[in-house]
Amino acid sequence: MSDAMKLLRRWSGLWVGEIETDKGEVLKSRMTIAPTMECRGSVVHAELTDPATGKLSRGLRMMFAVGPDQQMQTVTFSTQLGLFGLEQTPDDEDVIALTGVTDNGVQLNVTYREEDPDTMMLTVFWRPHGTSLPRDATPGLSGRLYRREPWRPEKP
Amino acid sequence: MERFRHMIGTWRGPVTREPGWQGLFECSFTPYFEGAMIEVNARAVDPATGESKTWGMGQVVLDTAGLVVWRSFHSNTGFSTMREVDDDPSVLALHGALAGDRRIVVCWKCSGDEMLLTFTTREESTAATEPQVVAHLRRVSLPLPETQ
Repeated sequence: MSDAMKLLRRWSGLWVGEIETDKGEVLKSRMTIAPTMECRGSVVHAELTDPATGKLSRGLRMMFAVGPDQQMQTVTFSTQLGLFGLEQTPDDEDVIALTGVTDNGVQLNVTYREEDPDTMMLTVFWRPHGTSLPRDATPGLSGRLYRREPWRPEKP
Repeated sequence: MERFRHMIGTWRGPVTREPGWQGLFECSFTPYFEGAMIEVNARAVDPATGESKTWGMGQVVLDTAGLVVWRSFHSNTGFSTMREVDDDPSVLALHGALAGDRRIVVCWKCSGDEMLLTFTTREESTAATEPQVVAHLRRVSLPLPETQ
């Protein structure tokens, strides 16, 4: 099992917190990380909701697996950006950093950083593909998530 | 995504795979985000050991032309993006490229509570061959409400 997959396994559970958008909105976040396919993959399911109305603002579902080339990639669907893939990029051992380009030419950089075993920082940048990210760029989404409960297998 | 409504749920049945391997195939189609995306999980099980021989997972959406785009991971072939070939309305036929100049062709034909799945990979330059994987599936569960 790759180090990144071990990290995802360690993070399995329910995470909640607040995520701020680049437009200054603060959304409630509920994210689950769970192993799938007999623990050979992982799935991240995130829902960002408007705290006033409870309505879904953005939804994301990422399926992680390690390909035959030993590279971890994702199959990802976002209610905002549609279907795309992300590839892992090198980073610190307590970080999963991913990058990819959507069919609409949006360059995405997603980072999950463990701050302590029950706290995680999520940061997402996006920009037109082919452009560089300004040094002082504001993340499209960022926020701290706290582990609410560990992952438990579903009842049969 | 209305056309997938009938496929939502879990399907199971015998599968044969070259060269002569036989097992049990199971797949599930689950909608997320009010049906904007369908997630597919599948595995072929060795009936002698109960262990998964191969497995795959993917996400399915429609493009702006209303055709299916299917991005998936399979334990044998890795990641791929398949797109619907709009030639036979009774079959969901998907073609995609794999690493190493290979092609993948997957066809789903659904009729009532039965579904036929065929799966082929081949070199880009070679002609189409008989499917390498054929599964005859029956529905084993009704559609479930949206879950995580």
